Amino acid sequence: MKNSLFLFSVFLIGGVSSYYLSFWDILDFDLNSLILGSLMFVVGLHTGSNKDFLKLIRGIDYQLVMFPVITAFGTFFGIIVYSSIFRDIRLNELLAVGSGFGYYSLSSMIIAKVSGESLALLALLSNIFREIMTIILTPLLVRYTGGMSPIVSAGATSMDTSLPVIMRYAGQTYVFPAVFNGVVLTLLVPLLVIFFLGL
Amino acid sequence: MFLIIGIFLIGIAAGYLLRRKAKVHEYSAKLINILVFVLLFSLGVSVGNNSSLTDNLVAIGFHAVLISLFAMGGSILTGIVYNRMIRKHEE
Repeated sequence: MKNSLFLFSVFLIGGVSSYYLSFWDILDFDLNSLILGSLMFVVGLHTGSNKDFLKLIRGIDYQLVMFPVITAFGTFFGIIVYSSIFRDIRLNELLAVGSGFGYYSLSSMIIAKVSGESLALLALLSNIFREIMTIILTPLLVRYTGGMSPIVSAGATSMDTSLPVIMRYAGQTYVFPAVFNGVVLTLLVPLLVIFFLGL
Repeated sequence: MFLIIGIFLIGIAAGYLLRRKAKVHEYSAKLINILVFVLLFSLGVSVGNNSSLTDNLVAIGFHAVLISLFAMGGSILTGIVYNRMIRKHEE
C-alpha cells in the first residue's frame, strides 16, 4: 500500500504541476505508446517468471477457478447495476473501468491510450479505491462473510498488495486461492479492458 | 490494440522460459515500478492540462468511489451466493 500511495503521489505531482505551470504543454508525451508497450512486455515477463506459475496451472481445480470467475462476473454485475442508476457513461466503458480489478496502473494506461484521459482518470481512481478499501475492509469481510470475500473484492491485487492482510485475517488456507485469483485476473485485465473498449 | 495483447503474451512466454534465470522476476518488478512511475506522471500531466477534468474533480472522485463500491459489492455478493448454494448442495 505504501508503494501505491507513492505512485499515486507521482500522478498528483504531474497533475498539480501541469495545472499551475503551463510549461508542460511544450512536452509531447506521445512516447506513451512505447512505454506502454514496454510495460506490457515486462508485466508479462514478471507473470511468466513467477516460480509458482506452473504450480498454479497444475493446481487448477473447479473450486479454485471459481475465485476469478466470481470476481469477474460479480464485478460486471455490480457495474451493470451502477450504470442502470447513473447513465452518463456508456456501459462498455464502465465495464472496461471495472475490468481493472484493482490493477490501476495497467488498466488506466491502456484506457488512456485507447479512450483518452477522462475515462483513464476514472479508471485510475476507482481501481485505487478498490485496492485501498479492500485492504481496510478485509477484517470485517472475513468476520461476517468468510475468507472468500476479501479475495474476490481484492481482484488482481489479491496476489500482491492485498495478500498480507488476506493471509493475516483469512488464514493460510486462503493464500493459494488468493495468489491464483490475482494471477488469473492480472492476465485478464489487458484482454478484458481492450475487449470492452472495442465494443 | 491487438499488438499490446501480443506483446503481453510474448512477455509471458519469455518470462516462462527465463524463469530459472536468477533475478528476472525481481528485476522485472523494479522495471514495472519505473515504467508505471513515468506513465502515471504523464497521465497526471494530461489530466492537469484538461480543465474539463480539473473543474469536475470532486464529482469524478465521487463516482470513482461509487464504481469501486459497486464492483467490490458485486464480487462479494456473488461469492456469498455461491457459498450458500454449495452448502445447500452438500446438505
